Amino acid sequence: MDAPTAPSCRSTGTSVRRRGLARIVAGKAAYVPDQHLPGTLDVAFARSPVAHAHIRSIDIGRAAALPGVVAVRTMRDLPGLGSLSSTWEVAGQRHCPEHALATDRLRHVGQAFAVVVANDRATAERAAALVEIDLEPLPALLSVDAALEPDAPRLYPDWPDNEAARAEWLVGDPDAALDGAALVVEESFTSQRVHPLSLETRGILAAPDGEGGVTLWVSTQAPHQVKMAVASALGLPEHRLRVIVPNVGGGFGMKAYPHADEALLARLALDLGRPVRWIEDRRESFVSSAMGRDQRVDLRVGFDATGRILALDGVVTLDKGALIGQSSLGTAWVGAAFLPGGYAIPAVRIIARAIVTNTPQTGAYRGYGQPETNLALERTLDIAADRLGISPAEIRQRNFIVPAQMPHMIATGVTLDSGDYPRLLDMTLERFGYEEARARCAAAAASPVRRGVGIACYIETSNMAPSAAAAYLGIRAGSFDLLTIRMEPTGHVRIDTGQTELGQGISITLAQLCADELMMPVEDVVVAHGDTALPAFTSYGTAGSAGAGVGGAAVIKGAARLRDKLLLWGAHLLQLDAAAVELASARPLGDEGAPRAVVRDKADPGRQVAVSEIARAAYFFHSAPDGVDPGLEASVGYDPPGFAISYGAVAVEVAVDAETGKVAIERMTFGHDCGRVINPAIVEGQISGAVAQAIGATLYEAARYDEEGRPLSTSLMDYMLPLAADVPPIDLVHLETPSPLYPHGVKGVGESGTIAVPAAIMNAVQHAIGTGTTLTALPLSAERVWEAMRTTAQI
Amino acid sequence: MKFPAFAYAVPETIEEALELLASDADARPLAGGQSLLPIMALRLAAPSMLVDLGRIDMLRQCVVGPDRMRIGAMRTHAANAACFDVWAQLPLMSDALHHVAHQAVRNRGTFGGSLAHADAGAEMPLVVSALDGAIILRGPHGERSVPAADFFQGHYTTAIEPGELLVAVELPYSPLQWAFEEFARRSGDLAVAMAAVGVDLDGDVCRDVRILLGSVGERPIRAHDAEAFLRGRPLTPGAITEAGRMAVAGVAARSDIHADPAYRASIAAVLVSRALDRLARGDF
Ligand SMILES: Cc1cc2nc3c(=O)[nH]c(=O)nc-3n(C[C@H](O)[C@H](O)[C@H](O)COP(=O)(O)OP(=O)(O)OC[C@H]3O[C@@H](n4cnc5c(N)ncnc54)[C@H](O)[C@@H]3O)c2cc1C
Repeated sequence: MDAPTAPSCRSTGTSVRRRGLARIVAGKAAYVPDQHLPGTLDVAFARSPVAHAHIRSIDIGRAAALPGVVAVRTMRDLPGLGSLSSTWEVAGQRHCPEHALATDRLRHVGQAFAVVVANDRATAERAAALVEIDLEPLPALLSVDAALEPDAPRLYPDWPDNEAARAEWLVGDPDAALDGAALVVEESFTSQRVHPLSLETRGILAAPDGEGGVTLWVSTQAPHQVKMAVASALGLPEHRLRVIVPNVGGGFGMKAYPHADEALLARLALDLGRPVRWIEDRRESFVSSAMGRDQRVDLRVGFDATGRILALDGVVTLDKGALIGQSSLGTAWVGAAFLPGGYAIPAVRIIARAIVTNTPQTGAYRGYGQPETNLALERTLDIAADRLGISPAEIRQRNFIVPAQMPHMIATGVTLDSGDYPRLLDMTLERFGYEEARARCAAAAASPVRRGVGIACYIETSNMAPSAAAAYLGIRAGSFDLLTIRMEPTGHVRIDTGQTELGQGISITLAQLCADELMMPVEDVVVAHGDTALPAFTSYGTAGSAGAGVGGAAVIKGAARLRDKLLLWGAHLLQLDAAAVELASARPLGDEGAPRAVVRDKADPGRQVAVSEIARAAYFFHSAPDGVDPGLEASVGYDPPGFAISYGAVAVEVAVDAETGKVAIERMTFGHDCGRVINPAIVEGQISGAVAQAIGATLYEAARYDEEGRPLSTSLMDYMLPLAADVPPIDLVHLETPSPLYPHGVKGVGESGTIAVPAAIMNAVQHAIGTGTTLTALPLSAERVWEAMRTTAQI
Repeated sequence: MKFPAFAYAVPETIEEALELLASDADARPLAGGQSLLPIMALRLAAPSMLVDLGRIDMLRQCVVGPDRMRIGAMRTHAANAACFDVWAQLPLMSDALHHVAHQAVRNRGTFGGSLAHADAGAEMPLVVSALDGAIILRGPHGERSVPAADFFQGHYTTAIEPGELLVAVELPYSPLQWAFEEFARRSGDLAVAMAAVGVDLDGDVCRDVRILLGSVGERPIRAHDAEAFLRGRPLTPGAITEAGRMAVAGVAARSDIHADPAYRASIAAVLVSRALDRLARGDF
């Protein structure tokens, strides 16, 4: 008799609740500072008071004499401690080794030049203030323009100038096309420097393992890269190092790469034979962690009279700060490569360049260069639409790459895998009520509260892949994932992944994929992560919106491998041919309980054996199928086949106080397509969180420096993050076009929310205040909008 | 960053607190700690001793008199915001309290701490100045009362002498109708600019008026010219705009990371006009 087949128990596509949330909310989750090892020493750094100087000498005498101080070191006292080289290494790029402590020169305010190890952090801070440094000041270059002056002093004397790296794209004949264009829009757009500002700052605990090796607890997105970099800087073989990542309170790209201080802490732990800990405080995070954005895009775009783009000519200039760092040209490169967006542009010239200045370094931040170039093109489209007398929606529709053209390689060589850009924009505008909203705005044109509507579209790169493409980009890492899936003797499953849980919910996402593949309830799957001792490896760290795409596809591959083993075992136990059985989810005969995974006879589904019984048999191994190893485990490697390109459209309505310039975002409709959605709540969380960060970067945040290069914001009192009240309700519109490249059809979503929001808001504010003064620079602080309105009024 | 080392004392009476302060020139009173502790954590201040005022009940008292109220220094913003007498007799203060920080900070931050700290962007110094309050200080040699106009001397600077405690504030009930307007970058932030405007209207004619600007200068500024201009005049839209303009004319506005002087002054003018407009419409 047939056993009743259970209704589908698929968990993908449903908002399975993440685990451990209550502990996080209750403050009980353990982060790096919550790891307690007996005898731990605390570390603080002596940091540069000036933006640029030669170091004549450093005197650690007074600091070392302070009671409670265990050690004070400068680079001179750490012979053999190597530097880090860049993760991104584009052709022709210049080099500046990344040392934990300055050697002969200070290149930005806050650069560390000595490290103090003491019994407690307060003592270490006091001692750090006692380290004396004798300096010979050098002229400081505090902007890209200053660094590009022909006679500008050089930050690195062995370079010919201050350009760290450059890349160029040239397709077609953009000059001729621009000459023949009916309209050329030429503007310079700037995205200011912001702080990625994870609520948990960076943190490192390093402990000698007693056998010549070191265990590190690090707040990072990339434990395997940290292990590799630390091993290389210390000259240790990698099996002597273990990196553990406890709970992480956000990373946003800032924690996506290794840091030289991680190697320094490991070295101090080995030298002193005791655990040492550095927990970055908020204030130093403004100089000791990489900042985000700080790009200018000089853009010329030519249109025909109907608004079709003929050519694009752009220069993306990245203020790299004082270090090439791990990401090198990366953010400008990605920004440039994705500058054409989802539009068909026949002729293109784009230059991306990174310039060093005497400011703290910039690096990866959620969006990774894409918001900056998106701002430039999406603003340009609005400016062109206004000059050509067509609507902003229409000009985009006229330029979109359409589904029939997919997959489609755009001018910069990026292949758009799938999607329906025109339809998603239509869906978004319909939900938003675009035409009615524009009419409402027109009616408010002269009122004290102006209203504006703005739209912007984006594409988002995810899964920088395959590994061969990473090599082509100059990334010294692959794109792949190695992982292990093990079925325990009770039939429960554990995934060992190299992906890192940063609060984004990757573990439940992976558990869901695995559960569906093995037809078991998601509660029966656990995910272990954040430890390089696990049999797993993630080549590029949990970044680039690749967790669900690459990590997820690897899980599917591993689960499929495990399923094949289950079928072999099931067939053996049922005394059938492996081809005659299938995996199913079924209730046992006469049982009203939950469905369970079984292997059953395809021809006679009542003949079945529960997966839990198979598991027990595999671990007893009293009788086994031919050629099968004991246990139930699958270790797989998965190299993703290519970029999966998410995309979307954002519509916002703003109110602008005509007398103060204050912008209120009243509502937002966010249309997006990230392929197959595994867990809708997590996707929504990713978008809302990223939108909040984008609103911050658009209206409030700015990391500025005074004329001496000292940071003007060093705390959350003066670095203004958006508060809950500043983030409007976000109305999400979903479209699902599975990526044809991936077994689960998933595209990344982690950065989507950051990309088009600045452009959409700026377009809306421009719409509200009229076109007298063209807005091109972020942030749109009330003061800047007020200035723009004042100038407009005088025209 | 971590606090520099300090001693900590918790007196139970004002006299004890004064003795502790007298015993150590670098001792500082600790009220709600919402300003002092962050400053210490940033190592911008390093007092040798903190004298915690939290257990001195006398400092939390509030005396409601027939023509004035005496509010203890250690009353929290939250307590004042929830106080019926403040709402009924000092509506300007009630309004302004809604702009002070966020609930968590209001639960700890105190009236006296806010006045002693005298941040130019803080609301309470403006309220006390607008209402012509008197600040009661107690030192080793007894008590003195300092009018608000003399008490606030600059950004973070007051008339408090070393060894003195701010024990209470006396606020007379004002015969004027008041409106409070503030512009901050985000809700709960210290003000970029604010205005407290009081009027006594006869129909729409201004019999009496009092205009104070906050956060524009280093301390609350009274707009005498604008007041003189309005006295005896109907509150027409033109007069309201003009009064706003006059209120900031010649004022050297301060500059910080949040606003340049010209923007600040312009915002202040707008706020004065908005307050007057609300008063003219009876919306207070
Ligand atoms: C996130 C945040 C937002 C804020 N936003 C605002 C805002 O919008 N508006 C605003 O007005 N304030 C704001 N504040 C400050 C807050 O209102 C504080 O409560 C106030 O400034 C200081 O009060 P306190 O009781 O915490 O004083 P403390 O921090 O304890 O002390 C402040 C100073 O006053 C001295 N002092 C305290 N009490 C006495 C006394 N009785 N006699 C003599 N000296 C004394 C102390 O020695 C110290 O120098 C904010 C604070 C935070 C943390």
